[in-house]
Amino acid sequence: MFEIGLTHFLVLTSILFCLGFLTVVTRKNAIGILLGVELILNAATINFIAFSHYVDSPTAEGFIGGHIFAIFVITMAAAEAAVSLAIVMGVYNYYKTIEVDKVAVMRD
Amino acid sequence: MQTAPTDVSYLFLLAVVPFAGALLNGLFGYKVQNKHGKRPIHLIAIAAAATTFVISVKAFLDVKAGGPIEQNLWPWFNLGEGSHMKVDLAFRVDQLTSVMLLIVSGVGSLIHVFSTGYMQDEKPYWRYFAWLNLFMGMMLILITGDSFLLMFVGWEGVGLASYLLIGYYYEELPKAQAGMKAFLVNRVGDFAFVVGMAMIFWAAVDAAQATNTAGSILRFADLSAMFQNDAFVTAFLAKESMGVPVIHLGCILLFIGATGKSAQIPLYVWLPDAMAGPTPVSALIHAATMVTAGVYMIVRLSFLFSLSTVAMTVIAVIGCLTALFAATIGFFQTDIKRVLAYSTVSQLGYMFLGVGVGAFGAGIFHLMTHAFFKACLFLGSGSIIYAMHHRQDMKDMGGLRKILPVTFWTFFISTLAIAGIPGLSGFFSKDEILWRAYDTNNLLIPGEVLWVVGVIAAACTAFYMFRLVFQVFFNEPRADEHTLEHAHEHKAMTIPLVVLAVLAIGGGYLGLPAWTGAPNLLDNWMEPVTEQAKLNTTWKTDIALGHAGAKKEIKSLDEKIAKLDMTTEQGQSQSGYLIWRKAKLEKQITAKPKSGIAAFHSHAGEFVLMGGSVLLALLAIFAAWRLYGRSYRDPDNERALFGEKLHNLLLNKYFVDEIYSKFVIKPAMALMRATYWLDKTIVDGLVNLSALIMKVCAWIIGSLDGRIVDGLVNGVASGCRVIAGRVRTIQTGRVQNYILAAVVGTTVLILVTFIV
Repeated sequence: MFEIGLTHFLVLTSILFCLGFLTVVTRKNAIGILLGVELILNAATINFIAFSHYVDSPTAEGFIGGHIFAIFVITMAAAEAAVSLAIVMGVYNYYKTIEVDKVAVMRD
Repeated sequence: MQTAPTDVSYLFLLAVVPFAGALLNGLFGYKVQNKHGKRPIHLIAIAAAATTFVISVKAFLDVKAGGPIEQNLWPWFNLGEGSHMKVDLAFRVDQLTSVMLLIVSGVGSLIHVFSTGYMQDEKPYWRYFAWLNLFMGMMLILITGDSFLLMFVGWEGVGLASYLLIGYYYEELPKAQAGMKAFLVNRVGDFAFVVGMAMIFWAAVDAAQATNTAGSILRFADLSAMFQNDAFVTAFLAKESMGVPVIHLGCILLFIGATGKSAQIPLYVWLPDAMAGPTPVSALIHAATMVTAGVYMIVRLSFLFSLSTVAMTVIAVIGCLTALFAATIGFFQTDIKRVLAYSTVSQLGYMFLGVGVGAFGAGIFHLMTHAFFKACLFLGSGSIIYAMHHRQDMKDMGGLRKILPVTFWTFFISTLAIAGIPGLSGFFSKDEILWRAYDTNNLLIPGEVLWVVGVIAAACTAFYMFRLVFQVFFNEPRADEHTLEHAHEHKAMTIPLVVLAVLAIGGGYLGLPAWTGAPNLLDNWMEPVTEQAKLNTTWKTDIALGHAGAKKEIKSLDEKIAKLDMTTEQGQSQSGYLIWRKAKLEKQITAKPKSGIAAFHSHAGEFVLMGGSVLLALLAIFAAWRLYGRSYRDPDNERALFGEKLHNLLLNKYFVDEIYSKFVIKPAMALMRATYWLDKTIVDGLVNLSALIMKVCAWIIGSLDGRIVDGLVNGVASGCRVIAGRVRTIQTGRVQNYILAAVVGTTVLILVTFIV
């Protein structure tokens, strides 16, 4: 019957990555872009888990390499979100906006 | 014979000290005067002049003790050992120079002192004293230089100083022009001087090479020694240029140089105009010192001039004519300084008459006494002009005897001296010249003619000088009340006047005439310088007395030769000279008088002739007193008295300036205009044409450059700009765009990897 395999996960993560990528590229709102980054990270994390499950050979502790990476990514994403939001707050305080186009002082 | 010179080390100071004074005042005088007043200025200048006087006295004493002295600084021109062109920068003082030194530095110092009074209201006081010191330095170089070249340096230098001082009031155009006139007229004479110098050099080199005579020709001492070699003299006298013997031509050219500097016919015209300068300058440069440079030069070269009968005749005749000519011009001049200027020209004529007839000592004697009484007269006129608020016309004077007593007495004494009144200096010197002119046996013309002209000129001198005295000092004052009220004598001015007046009285006793039996001190003093020339001159009195003088000298030479120690080198060289002199003197004994009445050629004759000339001078003075002594005569009155034609002719100086203007200056100006036109139209035309061609070429090349070369460069630049404008738009500066590009690029790369 219909069984969910690695390919499905890969298609899912590809779609998720593309959605995240599009969000990053198209959004003007800084927080929106951060959300896109989050999506990309999540797509990568699912890939890790999927590959861990289907492809990886077990070690003494079981299938653990991809999981560890996933936890790393989640941790890093949390830290990244904190730092990014702090930057966004700073930008807002200074420019009274968080639209990335408006704060492009270095360009002009 | 001149003994070998002693080396001394102080002669260079004669030139250096006045130059230092001139430099000090010239460079810093303006500031010093503004800050500290006029006192430091004239202290520096007078100190410099007085120092030269002290050195001159020292030099005189040294010469008196041990013959000529010399200081050789360094080699100047040297065309190799044994060549005839070997000139050092050297100063030399012999008997002649020491006399000149004392006159120049002594009178110069007095005039420096006088100037402090006369010039006290002048603003550029420092400039005046700087130039006065410059003049002193140049004059001292002129007389102490031991070679033609150094003398010429001084000769030109005094010309420069004279130009600067005549044009001292250069804000007034006529005065600046007078300076230029003096400079240009002098230039004519200087040119002849250089040519004469070159001609003598050329002939002497040839003669020296032909006869193997050693010596540097341009050095006076060497040249005079060369002329003691008979073979050399013969070779030299044989040299000709354009068919004329060089000895005549060269000497006449040198004399033309002297006519420029010493204001003789035909180049005397600058001297009366030179009166535009301050009066002390007229006294120093244009009466006492610079203008006598020509006389000095001829006496310095007496050994050369005495060989040329033609040149000597020319000198004597020109001198004699100048004496008369200038004296007559002096008759009706109304400017007090102009009268004195013509009087100077006239007295310089006497000096040339003296040296021309071969009486070199007498020429220098008159130079000296003239320096005293003429400086005194000029300074006296300065004192008058100062009192009259710088008015020089005699119509504004009169009756100044009581107002300016010191000036009057000194002026009067000097006038007596110049008029030849017995007992004063001018009498002795003028009379010696006149007597020598009468007595000369050296010229191509009879000396009696010169004597007659000279005596007439002396009478004219007495007349115009006493006219001057009567017009200025006697009768009623004609100046306005205000001037008379302020008229006074300045102390700095009266002291030099008194000193000069004393010298004008006493100076004559240095050269007493032969009939007094007293020694002629100056003539004896100058003997070593003039003795060589004396071998070429004979005197009718001496001939009439059976060559008593020459025989006496031969006898003394014999004694000297016997006394010589022939074992030493010095003794041998001296004996050669003494024997040569003896031979020359023995030849002189055979000379015959060329003209004249034997009875007059004796000491008694001299006495009688002198009495005649004095009588004539007294008559002239009497005439002046009759005409001017009791009432002032203005020019109109004089015209009526003497006849319009004569008065006009003399007042206008025989129209010589007009004649020069018509025949010399106008043609010169026409030539100038012609050459100017040539220059302007043809030379400038060619230059402008070539410039135009250049301009066209440049325009063509310029446009090629602008269009093609610049076009390429600009094309590259604007191409770059267009491309850059396009390319630049890729760089948006948005992170999102860059990410998109990165991702798309990566994707494309991956796809390409898969497909290929």
